[in-house]
Amino acid sequence: MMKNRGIGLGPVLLCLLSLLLGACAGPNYSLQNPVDAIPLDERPTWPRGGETARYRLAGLYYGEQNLNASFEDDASAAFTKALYWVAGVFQDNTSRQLQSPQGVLSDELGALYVADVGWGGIFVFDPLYAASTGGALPIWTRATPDGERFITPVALVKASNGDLLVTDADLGLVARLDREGQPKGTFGKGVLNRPTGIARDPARGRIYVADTQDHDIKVFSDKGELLDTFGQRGVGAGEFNFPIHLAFARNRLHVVDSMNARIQVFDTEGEHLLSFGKRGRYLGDFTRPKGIAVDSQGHVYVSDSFVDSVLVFDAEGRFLLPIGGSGARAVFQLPAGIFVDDRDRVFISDLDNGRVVALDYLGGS
Amino acid sequence: MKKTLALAVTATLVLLSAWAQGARVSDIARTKHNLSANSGGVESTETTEICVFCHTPHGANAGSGGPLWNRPLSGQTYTMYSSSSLDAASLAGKSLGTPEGSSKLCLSCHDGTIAIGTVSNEPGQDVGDGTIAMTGTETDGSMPLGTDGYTRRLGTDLTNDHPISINLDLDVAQSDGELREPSNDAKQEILDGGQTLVGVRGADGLASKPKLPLEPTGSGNAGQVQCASCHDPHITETDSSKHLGESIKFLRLNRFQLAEPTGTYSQENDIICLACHDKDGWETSAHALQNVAGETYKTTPAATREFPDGLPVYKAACLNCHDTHTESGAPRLMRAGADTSGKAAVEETCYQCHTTSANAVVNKSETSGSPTNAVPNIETEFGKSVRMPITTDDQRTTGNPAHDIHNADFVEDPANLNGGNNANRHAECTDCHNPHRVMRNVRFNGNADGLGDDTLRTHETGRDETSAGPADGREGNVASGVLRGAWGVDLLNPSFFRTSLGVNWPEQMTAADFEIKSGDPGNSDLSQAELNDNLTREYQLCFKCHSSYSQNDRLSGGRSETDIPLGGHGGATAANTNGLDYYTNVAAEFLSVNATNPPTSGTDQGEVLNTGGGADGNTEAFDSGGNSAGNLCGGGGCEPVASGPGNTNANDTSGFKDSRDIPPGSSPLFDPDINHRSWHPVVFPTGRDRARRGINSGTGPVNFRAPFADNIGAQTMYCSDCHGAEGSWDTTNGGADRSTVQGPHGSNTKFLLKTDSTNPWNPGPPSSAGITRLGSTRNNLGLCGNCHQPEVDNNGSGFYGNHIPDGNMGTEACMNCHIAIPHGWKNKAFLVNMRCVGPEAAGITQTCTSQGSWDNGQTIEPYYVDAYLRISLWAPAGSWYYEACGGDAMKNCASGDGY
Repeated sequence: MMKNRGIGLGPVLLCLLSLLLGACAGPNYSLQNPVDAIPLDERPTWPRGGETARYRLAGLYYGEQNLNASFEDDASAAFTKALYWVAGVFQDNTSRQLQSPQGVLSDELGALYVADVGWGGIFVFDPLYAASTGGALPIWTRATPDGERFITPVALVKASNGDLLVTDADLGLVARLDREGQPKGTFGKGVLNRPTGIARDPARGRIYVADTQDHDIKVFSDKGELLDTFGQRGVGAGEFNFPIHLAFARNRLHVVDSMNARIQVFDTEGEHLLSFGKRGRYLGDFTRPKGIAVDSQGHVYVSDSFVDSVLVFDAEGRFLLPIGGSGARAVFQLPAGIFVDDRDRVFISDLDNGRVVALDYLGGS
Repeated sequence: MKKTLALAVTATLVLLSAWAQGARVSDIARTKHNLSANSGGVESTETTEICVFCHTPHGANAGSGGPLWNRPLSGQTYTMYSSSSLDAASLAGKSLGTPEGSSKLCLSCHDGTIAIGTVSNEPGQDVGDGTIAMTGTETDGSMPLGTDGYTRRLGTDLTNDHPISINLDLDVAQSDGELREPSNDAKQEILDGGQTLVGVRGADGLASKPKLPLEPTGSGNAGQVQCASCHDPHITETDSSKHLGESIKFLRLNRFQLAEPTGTYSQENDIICLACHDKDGWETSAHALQNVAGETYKTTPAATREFPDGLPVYKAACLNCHDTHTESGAPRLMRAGADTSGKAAVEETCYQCHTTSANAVVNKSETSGSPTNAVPNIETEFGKSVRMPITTDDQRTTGNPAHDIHNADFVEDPANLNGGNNANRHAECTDCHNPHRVMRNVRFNGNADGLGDDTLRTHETGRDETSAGPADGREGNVASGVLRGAWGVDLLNPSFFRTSLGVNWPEQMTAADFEIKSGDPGNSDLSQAELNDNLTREYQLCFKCHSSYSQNDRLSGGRSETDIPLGGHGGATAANTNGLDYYTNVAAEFLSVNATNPPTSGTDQGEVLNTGGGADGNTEAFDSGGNSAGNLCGGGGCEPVASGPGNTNANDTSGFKDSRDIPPGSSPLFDPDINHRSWHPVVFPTGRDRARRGINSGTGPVNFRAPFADNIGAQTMYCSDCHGAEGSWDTTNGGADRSTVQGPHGSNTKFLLKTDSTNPWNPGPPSSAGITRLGSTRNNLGLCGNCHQPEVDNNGSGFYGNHIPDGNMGTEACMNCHIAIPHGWKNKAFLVNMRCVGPEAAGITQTCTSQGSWDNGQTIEPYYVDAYLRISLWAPAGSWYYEACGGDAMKNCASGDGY
């Protein structure tokens, strides 16, 4: 019996709630996607070509249709299998759809938050909200309490009380939104130049923000006070050249040092632990590393937008496998932010395909 | 290493020589693309470190081990994605979903993280801090449903970003019609003199290295436009006169227009867009010329656009209205072309300048200004209470705006203009104006036929010059430069239509009765409407929406009307105004006549000469008492298309009133078969000159005001002589007041009418039916009084003498005797005849019934509003007698016997 992955608890919870709402017989607003129609053993896995499967396709998220449509009804498995790779088949140009997703985040209730730099807002795929509103997909576009709109929302992280913290590179601040999307305040304005990646250390209540054009990492308290700034422009250890996305896991801060074509890892004191990766044309080398995330076993996922791949490394920086690429291996177009939830489901913003791709890690090492 | 050194030396030498000349040079160290972490400044000699972000060295560190979890892939390299299936796009929209070639490199940084994303403008049209008041949000504050104009795909709808990964080949260029045509071979070359301006990078046989390279990323290595076709990421400009002090945005050629365009592309002077985009009519258009578009940008808008301070409009050229990386929701790369809810709003682009002087992004005077030099304030016009539905909010649609052109002439599918779905009815600026072609000239074809006047901003009413024939005002309806290159419709087969006039009023027409007039006229000197395939007349423009071309024509009883109700959209005239529920078929009203321009014998409306040509075949003597047959139909009179007034003699079953119905003893002046259709000469002149009308032949006062007093019978007029803003008619000298905005944009008067602002819509006492009148005092007849003066003295009015006593007529409204919608009509002089009302009136099924009485005016939509007039006999012009109007009641008028 395979483990219940991904939306596992979701439908159970949902049905209970629906009972309360008296809607159990009605539409199921769990996050639906075309992959649901494909039996597990028929879904694509990685690595390709007969190796031990480590990752399996779990979901594709485009927009409103993930909350309204019932993909199971209108597609046979074969049809779906043949077409789901073609971006655009399940897209509807007149409705609310992802344009250019950057940062992505999912929470324990199965909601998916996506920062979209094309639309200029946060898409909220929330099955519970959808159930009570007939399939609505909110898009939060207000960044500040006085109504300023997002321009370039890049990355998101959950604050201590469940609020959402969103960096906006062009507004130069971190916006705090509550669970309904109401802007509660901002921090970092005047301090941040071009903030992109954001990560949180829950144990110490610290928020790390990558300031890409200042080439440093700024550290804030949970209240938004600047505590520390570390790093400067350069090629040495602890120096950066256009740092972007961040991931905090296992008491380590992982930084995508994009123009140095490497990942740098620091401890909670800011001490440099290791760097890995180099520029090059071989699989496993970097050209334009972007997003980063870490799973429960310490595997590090890095997206490289130029070569359309997500590269998987172990905790020591050894290259394990690529997902995606060009030609027959293509999955992504300009992949961006990555998030791994606590069930090791990997969400990748597939920026130029206007979708989020979800993969399940199947375990093993 | 030697190679690198040699490269560096060469690069330096090239740099030095280019510096000396002042030009675009490859000097990436000086640009924002110097990404080197060690760039302490331009002194860095580590050239390899600057290059490596985009140029990966060959054979670096081979065999780095490869993936542990994917053994078959060990030692493999990345290859760029390419697929032949991506090119399967239709000819009309050669755009793809995935960036290829160099564009991938650009986009992998320009996605908003490392560098600014491709959406580079702040949302909304506001200049400044970008704070937008959120209107029209959902209940949770989220943004309303977006327009389908924006997609993240760089392509099909040409929205938000200039399309890339599109083929620029001969097929595409010819299909578009306004692109320079590349050669039909693998080079896809466009030459500029002896140089290759555009071509496939690396193709054999190019004349020289292409200035704007196409990349062979299409199927079969077809050359496509990519980011690097227009941008060179290494480039910087040393000559400040070329970049006018502003960032050149890595463009290979000019970011601004440096001198007026000539129609032939000039690398030296023309903006880069013109290297590929060859817009018809651009080089003579208003926005491209220094003496028309010399207004300069204000400081803040210039800064937001990264224009140099004080840049004149003609130098901003394409960038005035287009932004290659524009805001979300704007269609066709229109700058500021979306409203606050992110829906397409083309008018916002125009309103950047065509607004008040305070709000305009350029320095302009407040009023619309002189007849010659002005940037008309159109935004205020569309704020008036009655207006064309230009904003999405004003339109009937609840979704996205319907406007969607499908070619360079801005032609729209008729289904888009209406097509039975009133939610589609709309009016964008570009439905009437083509901003690439508009020119400052009184004629649409400029000075081509020798009649143009480029000091005049718009048309001149009653202008009598004619390009072929006498200066008799027959071309008084010619479109001015403001409408140059717009598109409209006209009768497909006029002569067929004329012979098929039937009984219903107006004629039933279908879309098949019309043909499209479109395209830029260039130097065409042809101004005849029938011969010229371009739009030559203002009415052709109006008819595309106000005719059966796009409206559903329906028969209500014997009456042809449209299915468009009054009211129902922002700026509409309220339902039931003047008793009207549905709009009449305007084009059919004007076209239901047997006429030509100029008038020709045998086919124009006029009056029968009574030499046996009457409907009853009898010959009646016609003693005109001075009236003659007139001159317009060669002196032989013109056949009427008569509509009989009805038969009041029970013994006469002919259906037509004739001499047997005349009371005994009456003068033979009263020949009965003297009725004919009438119309305002918007499409055709009336053919009825002064002599024909019996007005003081040759000299003396006439019952028309200037400028329509001189060419009676041969002249034509504009729709916009009646429809337009109140106060835009020159009531002193007559004609359009060209220091105000002309054109039917908006008015504070119902039906978008141009009543003088000192003479409002509803003067005078209301009638018993409570209907407000259009003009009721003798000397101030509202709209009608702009051109007509029926009270003029003896022999000037067309009445036999004055209508005496004038005193009693002073409080009567025009509509008591004339129909309420004076486009075209089945009786002469737009006269009502309540003795003979037919199915042209709502609810009447007989062909000729008596309605109401002299005490009881009738309001029956659409044509009768408080109508009283009862006609017993139709009289020739200049020969009306009281008995013609029913006898008894007229005789009993207070101060005389009505003689």
